[in-house]
Amino acid sequence: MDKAEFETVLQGAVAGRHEDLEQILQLYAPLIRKYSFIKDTFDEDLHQYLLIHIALNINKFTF
Amino acid sequence: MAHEDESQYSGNDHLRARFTMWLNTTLIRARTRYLETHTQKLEVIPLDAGLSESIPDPVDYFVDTERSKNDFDFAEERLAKAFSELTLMRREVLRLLFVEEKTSEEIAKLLCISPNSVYQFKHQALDKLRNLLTEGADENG
Repeated sequence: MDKAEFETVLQGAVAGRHEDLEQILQLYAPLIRKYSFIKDTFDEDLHQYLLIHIALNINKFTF
Repeated sequence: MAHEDESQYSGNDHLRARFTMWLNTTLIRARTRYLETHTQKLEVIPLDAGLSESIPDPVDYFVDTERSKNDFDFAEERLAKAFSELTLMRREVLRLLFVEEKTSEEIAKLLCISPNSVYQFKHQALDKLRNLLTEGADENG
């Protein structure tokens, strides 16, 4: 994903476009997964909590 | 040409780096909040607290407690227990629907899912709750 595409997708996600948010979540899936472990065990609830948290708060990111 | 590519690449890196840092911080804070609210903390009781005086006779205590509860308390407890067994997404959909009284479209927008998925999560959650409560009622007789 080049500069222009990333910026467009990020702007779309911040503006609330579902497809763009999905792309961002896919792009950062490894990072989100990294924080979804509790004591070396993947926690599905925590993973979903983080996804919901990002979806609800991505509009707070300022360019 | 090479210089232009390089400047474009570094600009890209700057926005991406800023967003990655923001996301990283957000994830750490959200994870900390989740662990604080979802990890049970056990109450620490000093050994010399005079336990024998403060603890009532177990049989009397049980009888009193059971008498003080009415049907509503039992129903509330069972519902809360069944609710806690739902997946996070199902709980969140029910909470937004019935506590915050949002419409399916609003929930779909908030959770970034389609309105159909909201209906699916709602029905799955209610079916699961119904099953859990029915099982519980059958077990209790």
